[in-house]
Amino acid sequence: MRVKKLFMRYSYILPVIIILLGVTIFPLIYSLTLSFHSCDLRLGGSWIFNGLSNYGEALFKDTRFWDSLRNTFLIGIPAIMLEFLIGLGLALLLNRKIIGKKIITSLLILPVMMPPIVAGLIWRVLYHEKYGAINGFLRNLGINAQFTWLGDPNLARVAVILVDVWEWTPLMMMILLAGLQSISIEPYESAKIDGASPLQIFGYITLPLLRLPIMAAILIRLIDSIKLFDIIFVLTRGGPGGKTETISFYTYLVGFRYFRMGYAAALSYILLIITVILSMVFIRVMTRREAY
Amino acid sequence: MRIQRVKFYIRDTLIYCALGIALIIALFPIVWTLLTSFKTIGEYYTYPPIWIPRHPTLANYRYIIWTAGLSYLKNSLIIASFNTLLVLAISIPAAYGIARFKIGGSNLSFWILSQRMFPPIAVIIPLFLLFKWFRLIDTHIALIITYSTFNTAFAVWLLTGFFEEFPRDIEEAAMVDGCSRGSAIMRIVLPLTAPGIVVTAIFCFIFSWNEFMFALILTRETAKTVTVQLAGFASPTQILWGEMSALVIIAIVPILVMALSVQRYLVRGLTFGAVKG
Repeated sequence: MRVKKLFMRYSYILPVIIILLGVTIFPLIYSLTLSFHSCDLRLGGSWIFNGLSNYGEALFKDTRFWDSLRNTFLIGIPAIMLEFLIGLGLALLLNRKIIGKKIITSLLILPVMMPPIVAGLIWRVLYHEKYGAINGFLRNLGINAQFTWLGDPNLARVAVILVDVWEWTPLMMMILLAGLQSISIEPYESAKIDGASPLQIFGYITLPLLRLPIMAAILIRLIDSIKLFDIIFVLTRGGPGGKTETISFYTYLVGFRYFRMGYAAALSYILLIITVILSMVFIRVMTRREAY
Repeated sequence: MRIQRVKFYIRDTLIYCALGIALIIALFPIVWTLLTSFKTIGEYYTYPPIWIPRHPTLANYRYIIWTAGLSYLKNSLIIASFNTLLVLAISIPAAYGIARFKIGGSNLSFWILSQRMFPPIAVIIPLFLLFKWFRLIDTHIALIITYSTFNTAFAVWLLTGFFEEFPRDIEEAAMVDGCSRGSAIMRIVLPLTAPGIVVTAIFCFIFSWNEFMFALILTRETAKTVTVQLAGFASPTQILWGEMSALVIIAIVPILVMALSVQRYLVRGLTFGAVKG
């Protein structure tokens, strides 16, 4: 009877377990095996065991891999910092009594929900050197703008960062706003009675109480930034001169342009390990909250 | 006292100005695309660029509907709908089980959550080879299955939260009155948690609709989705901006309407419930 009951309970989750085993665990094991082989689809795609040499190549020989890793963080970290600062500013403004707050929030979050590919396309049009609205706007301000946003090695990364900031700042704002609204009013009242300045209140009360939402938001964006692919695909294709080639994009090229499946599998595993470490930090942070 | 009031006015003005600027930056690209979708080729390739189309035209929309074909939109619709149905069908029981019986404890929930974090590129290489082996490249079914990698974990996670919030007493009362657990779920739990299920469904639909990388790799022509078609407009030389903008508008309007309808749950949805919002 107990066995039957236990079986009944597990039957609830069985379909999900099967699907997740089928579409993630099994492919990941398959991919791990693949990463110890060389498998070139142009040469027929047969598997030839080569041990750890794919990993060796990535870590010790492939400078393009290290560049792409560097690019990922050179794009991701400034973008996340800007998203955080602007998002926090907007959240603080929206946490006041504002007329039309609901409509303003609804409009501000539109970029978050659109396909990233669309964000990339829209901005590609705006960035156009001659017919684009951004240079047009700068020219109206009297600046002789002939910026080739996406073709200039110094500007391309900035251009990608700006699109990322445009798309994801509202998410940061929403998370921090939710955090602000969950802070109770009492600490503020007592701080006011004690004569704390607004800056002191912000530094000693608001920021410490926002610690968890802030960390959650930053970690989520960090994990996402490793996946950065769609925007790159339509904006720059990794160019100019590989300046915007992110790790996800490079892995895609290795697998589906150069057809070196074994090497791509090894690269994707390195990527996976980075993500797993970040995710573990995220989960650790999130579970600690329950102790409060 | 008057100085105080003046100070408040100035502060309020500054706040609204800052929000106004944020709104302009957030909306300008979307408005520009909307305007471009009504421009002729001569108008969007004008130097200096013009804002308002002088001769607004529906030709771009006609081109998308009659020439470029609606088949890619149809593919996206089929794939996103069936994926959502599949995901809900398996996630609802799982989420209910996790919420009610604490199956697997927190380890299971975290394992499921971690599925959502995987970089898609890590899963796509093996999936591509497997689908190739099964000759499923360029079929709807390949994407319907693949999208459940991220949506299942997400749906289980979100639904578990909704079921946990549902008061146990109500269904237990029904079971005391002679309902079996099955019929208590069907008659009491599901109807009363329907809003949460709809919210989950909408998120799954949006995520499927917006997905690009899997679709790029797993489809060629017959099952190509609208995001892949859109990316096709980004050729290195000349882009058909008007036509592209028309397709962008057609592709995002339903999504944005849906997103606004679940706005209240947006934070919870996009942070995997980490922030309740």
